Amino acid sequence: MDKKKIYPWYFGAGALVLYSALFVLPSLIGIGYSFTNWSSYSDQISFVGLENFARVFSPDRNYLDYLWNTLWFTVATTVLKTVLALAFAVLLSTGVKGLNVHRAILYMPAILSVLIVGMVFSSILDPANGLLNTTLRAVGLDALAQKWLTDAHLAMWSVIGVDVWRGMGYVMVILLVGILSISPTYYEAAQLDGASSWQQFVRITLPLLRPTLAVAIVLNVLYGLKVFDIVYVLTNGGPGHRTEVLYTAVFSEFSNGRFAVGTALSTVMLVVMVILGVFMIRVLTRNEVQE
Amino acid sequence: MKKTFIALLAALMVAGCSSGSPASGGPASSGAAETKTLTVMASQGWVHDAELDLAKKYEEQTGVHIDYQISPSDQYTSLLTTKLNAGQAADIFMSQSGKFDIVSNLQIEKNGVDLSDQEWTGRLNQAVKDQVSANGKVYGITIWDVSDSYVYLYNKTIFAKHGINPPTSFAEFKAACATLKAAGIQPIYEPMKDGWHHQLNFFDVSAAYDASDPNLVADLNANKTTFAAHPIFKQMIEQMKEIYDAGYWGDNALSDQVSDGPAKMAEGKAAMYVGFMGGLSDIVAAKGKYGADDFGIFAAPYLDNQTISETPAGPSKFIYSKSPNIDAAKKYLAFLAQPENLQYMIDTEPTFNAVPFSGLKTKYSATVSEAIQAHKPGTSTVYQNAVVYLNPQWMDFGKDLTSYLTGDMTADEVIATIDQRRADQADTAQDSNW
Repeated sequence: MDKKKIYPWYFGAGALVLYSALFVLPSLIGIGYSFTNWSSYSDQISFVGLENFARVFSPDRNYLDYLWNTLWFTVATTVLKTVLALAFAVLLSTGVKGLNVHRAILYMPAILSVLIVGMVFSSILDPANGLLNTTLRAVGLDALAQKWLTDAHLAMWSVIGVDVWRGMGYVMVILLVGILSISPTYYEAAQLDGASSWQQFVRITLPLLRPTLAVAIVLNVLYGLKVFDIVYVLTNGGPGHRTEVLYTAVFSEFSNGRFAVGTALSTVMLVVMVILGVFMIRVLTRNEVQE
Repeated sequence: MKKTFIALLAALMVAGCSSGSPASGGPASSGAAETKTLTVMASQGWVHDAELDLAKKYEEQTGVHIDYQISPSDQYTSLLTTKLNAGQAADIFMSQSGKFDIVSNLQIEKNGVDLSDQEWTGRLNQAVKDQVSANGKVYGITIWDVSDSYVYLYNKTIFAKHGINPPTSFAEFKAACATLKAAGIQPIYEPMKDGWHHQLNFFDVSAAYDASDPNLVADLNANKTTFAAHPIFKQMIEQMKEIYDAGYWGDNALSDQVSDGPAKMAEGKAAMYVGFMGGLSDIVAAKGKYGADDFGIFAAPYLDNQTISETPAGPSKFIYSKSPNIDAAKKYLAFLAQPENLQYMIDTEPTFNAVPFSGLKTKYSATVSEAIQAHKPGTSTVYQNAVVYLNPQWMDFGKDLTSYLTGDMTADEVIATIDQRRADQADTAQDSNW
């Protein structure tokens, strides 16, 4: 490699300093505060060791249930978004009439504000007067009309459904770019050898799409672990605590002035995300196909 | 040379960015002519037109302009706490009163100004004064209609049509609900979606809790007992579950909203609703099938309760201890507390029937007066104002209650969690009783 062609280190210094000042430093300060009794009730901040973490991991508390809900949401949305986005990306990468219109329609939910999506779907999914149940009843499918956001067994699936609707287009665009960047010569060669469409998908598209898929999955997982807004707007963690996730709990701790417990919860999530992120990138990019 | 230039440029960029980011602010109005403008921080809905009229009058009389800084209600508490912590609050700040909350949340002894020597404190209702006081010193003024309380508003016409009398016990309440449901009328409109309404039932039957043990409030506040140690609290939520499970809150209670309550009552779609006594005017304003004469009031009948509890807390004004205009702020509060100005508030503000000062003329309707006479001996305070560390867990308790009603938690767990949260809060506040 020609070392002269590598830019000198100080080209990245500005970004690095800003990143450190605005992201790394606050994160470290946050981790520091999670070992204290910082709250809105007192000016005194003293070191309390692992007390806040003991509280977070105590079986008497609901935090582990919230962690479970967060993981459930993350896995479900990642799988559904990735599978659906991949299917649509493959479909919309070839000659379909009105290709760009279809792409734009599928991408559109991603540009809507979560608040608006939440309010619209709260209205659509209202059990008494919502569009969905009204339509189901109008066509005689009364049995399918459900209390989408307030039934304890359905609420999380409804939130997942809305989130998949909103986020799938974004993942699709990432995958679409990946698919379009695969050289057509591979497909031509495969066709000459008599490969079926499925074989082409499994043997060419998937392996060459792996780095893009890795990025999409990592982004989805990190988004899922950090989820707050869509849950907050649609159910606010309810009914009861059924759809409570870790960041709604963090929000609640901060609102109640228990800043240290809130930062301890955030710290736990930070550690989980860093470990998962590194692990996933390692696994997903192992034996990566280099063009 | 080129390298040095680029490094310099990068350094300048960084320096430029970092020096611009944390705007230190400093005292907002320092150096301004001190008594020309007074700032008042308030949450949306806390400053009525009547008060703005008075502020204008005050400016005409004294030349001091009152600058009201109103913030959205969902952000106000955190904004106020931040401003107090940063030493940048307004000359006068508004907050919900509450003898425990003002000490733990506002640190009023540090952030507030002692107003005990003000003339109006002699006219302020004692129970209300207690809620703005700490260690015997008065820190705030409550110019708000705190005489109102949450009650059961009911449709007298529907009740009469089905031969039902206002219930005086839980058994009668259940029977009334059963009759109404059998007649195809939703007995109670209980909106749970907003998250703050359904737990009113639990907090408003304080008289029944008090009757079960006269020292209960004192013992809870001194940490000599717990909620779990008193079966009455469990019994209360079990009665609520009985009502919920029987479907008396309607099929869609979990997605029903408070804002639809008055219309549902006005249309006769539900026969009962927990609301403020003054909320009767909202039902009438909804202009449904039923009018003012069709509605009556009774006390929350769980645990055979027959008392409407006092709610002595409400939005109140406090003077910021670091304000450079403390004397001017005191003068403005004294102006607002003048009897003729308080009377103007009652007469002009539609939602006020009274303000908690002596020597004023109230404007209660006949229905409300009757209810006050029948159910409000003034002996019991709503539990969130009587018991320490209860009010801050209002929303969390509401979620627990929903979990219990929908079968995700047991009654024992819900009650134990109240104690756990109180202990957490006490621990955070470094309360020596815990």
